[in-house]
Amino acid sequence: MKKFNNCPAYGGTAVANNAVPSQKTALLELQQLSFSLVDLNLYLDTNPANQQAVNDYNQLFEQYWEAKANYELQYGPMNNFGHCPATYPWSWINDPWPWERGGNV
Amino acid sequence: MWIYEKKLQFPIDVKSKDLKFAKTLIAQYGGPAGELTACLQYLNQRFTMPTGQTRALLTDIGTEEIGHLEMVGTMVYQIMENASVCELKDAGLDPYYTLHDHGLFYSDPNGYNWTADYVDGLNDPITDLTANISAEQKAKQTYEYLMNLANGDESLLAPLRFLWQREVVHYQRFGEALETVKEYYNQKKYFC
Repeated sequence: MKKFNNCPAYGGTAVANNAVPSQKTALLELQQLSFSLVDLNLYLDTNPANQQAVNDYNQLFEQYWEAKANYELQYGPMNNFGHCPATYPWSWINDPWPWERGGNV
Repeated sequence: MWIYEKKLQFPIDVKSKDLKFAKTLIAQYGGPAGELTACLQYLNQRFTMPTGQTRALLTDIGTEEIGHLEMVGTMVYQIMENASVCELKDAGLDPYYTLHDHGLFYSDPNGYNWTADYVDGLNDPITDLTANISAEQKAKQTYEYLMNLANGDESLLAPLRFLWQREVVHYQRFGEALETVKEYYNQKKYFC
């Protein structure tokens, strides 16, 4: 599947870019993309026939999955099941958690 | 089913050590118009909503509110995490400390614990969507008061501003949903 292009476990290759973004930069990009999707999600709930919004959603969806796969490759899983292959040892338990210092900025 | 994402919806790194502010901010954690009330209210009402659109909207806004609960909890946690007992006492948090130490708890600045009495759910979609519009407006108002109390600290104001803006968007979406529900009922109206 296209969304796993960057996940080695799915036969893809790691980050194509030369420069790996810092965790702070990568996380901020992910927050921006997922926020745009959430906001479009709510908009489409009450405006389901807006073709432009559907197009925007699909375009952002592609960007989001790419950014998410790259982030998880570098900094560990964002979800605890079914979204990204597990590493050994299991890294879901690693700090920081989002509410902790340095956990999200 | 829900899936947790190991990130906040908006970046938070609180510089403030203003414990008095933490005491007021807890209003949006476990207070009447707080995020816990909002998410439980919407996720509860959705079961009996009449249209796919309203079922989806309540699911999606209710889910986003859980993320907002996490944001408010993060702000309270980061202000309080290294506070000494003396500092907590000076800020009037000694009763809170006695019951919860530095932990988070669903209560309000006056010490009243969260109760399901805060939740609106009369099952009539017009009534409930109107209550939700009101709930968003009340939360928005509370965030305005909290921003007035934040002493200009940008590390507090930025996430509060974000949360305030989300109340505006939710208000708009609930308003649109209310209109479509009215149309839905008008369509089904027949006389014989």
